[in-house]
Amino acid sequence: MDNVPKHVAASAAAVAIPARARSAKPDDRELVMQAQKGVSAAFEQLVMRHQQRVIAVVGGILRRREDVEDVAQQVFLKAYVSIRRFDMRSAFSTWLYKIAVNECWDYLRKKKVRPLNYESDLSEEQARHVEQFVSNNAEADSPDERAELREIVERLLSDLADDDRTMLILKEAQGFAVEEIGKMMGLNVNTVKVRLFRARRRLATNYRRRISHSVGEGRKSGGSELR
Amino acid sequence: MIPGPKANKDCKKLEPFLDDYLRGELPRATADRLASHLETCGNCREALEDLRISAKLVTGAFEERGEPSPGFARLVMARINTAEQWVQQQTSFWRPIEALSLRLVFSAALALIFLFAYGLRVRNAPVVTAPEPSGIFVQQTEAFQPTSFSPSPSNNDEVLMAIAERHHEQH
Repeated sequence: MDNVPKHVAASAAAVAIPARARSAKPDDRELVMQAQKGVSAAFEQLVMRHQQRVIAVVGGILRRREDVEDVAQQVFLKAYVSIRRFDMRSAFSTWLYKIAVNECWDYLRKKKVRPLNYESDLSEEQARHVEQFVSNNAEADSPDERAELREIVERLLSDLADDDRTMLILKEAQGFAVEEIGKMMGLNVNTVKVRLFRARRRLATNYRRRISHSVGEGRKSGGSELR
Repeated sequence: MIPGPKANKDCKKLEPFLDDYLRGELPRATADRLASHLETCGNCREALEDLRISAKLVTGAFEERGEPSPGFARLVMARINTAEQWVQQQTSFWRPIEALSLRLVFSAALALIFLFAYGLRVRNAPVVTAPEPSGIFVQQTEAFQPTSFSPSPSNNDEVLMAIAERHHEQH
């Protein structure tokens, strides 16, 4: 405790959180107000409450799994530093996820990670696998199957703009409302809707094209083997 | 307003409804009208199928519940503490320098104020002037008229001649 700054140590004691708040599980707003006063215990509660969603958001945007927790920690650090400037006009979660999205884009820019341009088509086995998955005959239950499916979908998403890809993942995989996505990305709701619609159609078009190509190639090679 | 079954030209208007239709979130009446439109409109059926495919793909690939590693929150707080300590160290390193420079600035400001005040005082003080000569109106021509003087001899011959002249005058 010697190394811990005085105000942090003081705030770590739950004394700073009102008794009412402790007994009735304080909402985000109360915790934010405490955190704005420098109570780091309140901020720790906010971290525990939102860590899973932040990691999911970051994990959806970043391609390298090993970077996810590091960037998620950075998101909370930034939130802690700028929480005094948070004016409560939006929900804390929206504000936090906006930081998460921006942090991911900054990270990708700094690392100069460009969307991978997968020119190669899916293997016949991959094509069959994903086709079965889409037609509801199979589920990607195991981590390995999920990883494979993710790799395939990454290929299909590779020609989408980064923010379209992010929107799509936030909407479909994370279940964010269009309004929330708009706030996070600084776009109006109609723009989000239109871009989401186009991104979805593009993904489906890519899917059809890759599947038909891979299946066609498979048939060709199968045919030549038979001959 | 959902267009009727044959209103293929108005399919654009349907786009915002398709997602909610797919998720079963449309009011019953609107959903029924959309369903009857879909029966006759291949484009909208294809769009709906695209939405279904993309939802299935993205959900399956990315709907990973972001499980944080155990102690994630503690790691975050430790990182925050480290950052705060670093900031404090930086602050404590620069603090004496800041204090010194503040003092310097303060002293310089005081010195400037004194100098300025002194300058003002000197400027406003009555000027002590020397008594003016009474013949100030004397014409310059008179004032600068050459006084009569005997030119000093410049060589021995002239000295001798001057002595001789004086001697001659006395007699």
